[in-house]
Amino acid sequence: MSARRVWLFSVRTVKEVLRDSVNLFFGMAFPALLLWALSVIYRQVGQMPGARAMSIGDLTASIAAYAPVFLSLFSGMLLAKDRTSSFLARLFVSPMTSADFMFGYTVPMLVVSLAQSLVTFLCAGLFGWHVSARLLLGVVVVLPVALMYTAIGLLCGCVMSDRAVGGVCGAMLTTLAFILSGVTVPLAIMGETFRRIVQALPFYHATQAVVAALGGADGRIWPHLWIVCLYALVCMAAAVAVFAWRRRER
Amino acid sequence: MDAIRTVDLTKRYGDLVAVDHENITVAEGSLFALLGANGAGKTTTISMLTGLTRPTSGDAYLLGKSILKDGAWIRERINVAPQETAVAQNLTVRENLELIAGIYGQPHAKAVASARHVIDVFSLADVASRRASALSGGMRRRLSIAMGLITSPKILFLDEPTVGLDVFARRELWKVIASLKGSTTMLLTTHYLEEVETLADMVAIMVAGSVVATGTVEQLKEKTGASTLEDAFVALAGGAR
Repeated sequence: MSARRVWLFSVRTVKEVLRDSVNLFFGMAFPALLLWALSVIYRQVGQMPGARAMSIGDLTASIAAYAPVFLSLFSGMLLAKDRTSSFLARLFVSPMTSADFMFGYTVPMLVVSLAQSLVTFLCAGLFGWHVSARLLLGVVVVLPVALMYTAIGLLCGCVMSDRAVGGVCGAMLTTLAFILSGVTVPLAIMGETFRRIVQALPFYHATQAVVAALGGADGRIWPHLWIVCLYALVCMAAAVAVFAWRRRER
Repeated sequence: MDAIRTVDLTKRYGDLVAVDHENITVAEGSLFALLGANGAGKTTTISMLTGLTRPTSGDAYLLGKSILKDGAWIRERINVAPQETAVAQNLTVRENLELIAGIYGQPHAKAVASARHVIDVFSLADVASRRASALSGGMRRRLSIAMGLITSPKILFLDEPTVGLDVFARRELWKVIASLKGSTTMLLTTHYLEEVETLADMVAIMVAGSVVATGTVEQLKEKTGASTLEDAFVALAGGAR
């Protein structure tokens, strides 16, 4: 692996992602818009007699944990396009190693995630959330979540066309992650079977880890975050293995 | 020293034999053309030599090193202009060139200078700051070839490089290719026989994965009694089809 090649490829990845206005919208603006819309809705809910609204702190944490789902779309689409356009074939002939590629696709997504979290938290400040130093812990806790979604995207990008990645990551995964995060459908009202499924998947745990980080319940971070880390590692290992296999079997 | 030497190089996909015990030798600094109809095995040969596809059996030696054992060493010294345009769409022309130069180990200042030089050579100055996605097909093709040349490779693989170029751009590219002879070994595949007559030092004709004839353009004409390379090609490739 070469640090310089990883750097050059990472810069290229960032440019490819951020020069796409659709990516910019979904990466930066959409989480802030979602936060604004839900904060308005929950404010109304809070005024209804007997109704219990979600606090702006929990809502902020939930959106911050959800926003990196779009990284799966960015990384998957980019890899799939590179693969199908011969650009990757050109780079396979070059001194780039598989490790150079995987770091070059992944590290920029984590940088985008940092920016995404900061935008989300600062916007939350405008919508009534008390901005504090805890947001830094929130940013760090979101990183494994971002790694997991990036790995899922890369895995999809290794085996699917860019159109298929758009369907799987852009539609299916974003919807699943939103519904199963426990934000819009609280765990308490789910049936037993559905609740077990939700608890076996990483989306709910990602949300709970960030809620704990922002809410000052540090002891509750790791019991949820390790599940996200496990998914991130498994997905990344699978992405690396499939990428190397595809490269070898061309 | 031979720049390229294949030894019984073979690639099978199930029952299909894409390249069958291929034995060719390319002298250093020369331009070697692979001719053949679609599906003859030209691109598969390039894919194996560039490390994109692993041979089923046999081996090939590039600059004396085995493609099976010394892939990393070889990759630093070769480059390719693939059959399809291979550029990063959201990067500018200059950024694409600097990226490839950097990946092959050129320091930043050298990569910038190399990009400037190649932009001049390929008449890309007017579009140097434009994103690849905004270029015409011909310009993108030119950029793709320039990305193959910017690293000053010891061996350059040109897989149908002039497809999609207009006649003026094609002639310009011929000039560039001719100027590289002597310092760069080139393996060219093409369907344009005029290109082969103008540029190639040696030609191999492939049919259904096998090399059926090798020689200079004149030797192939003599061998078949044909007056043009096209007639010689038809006689050699058509008869064996």
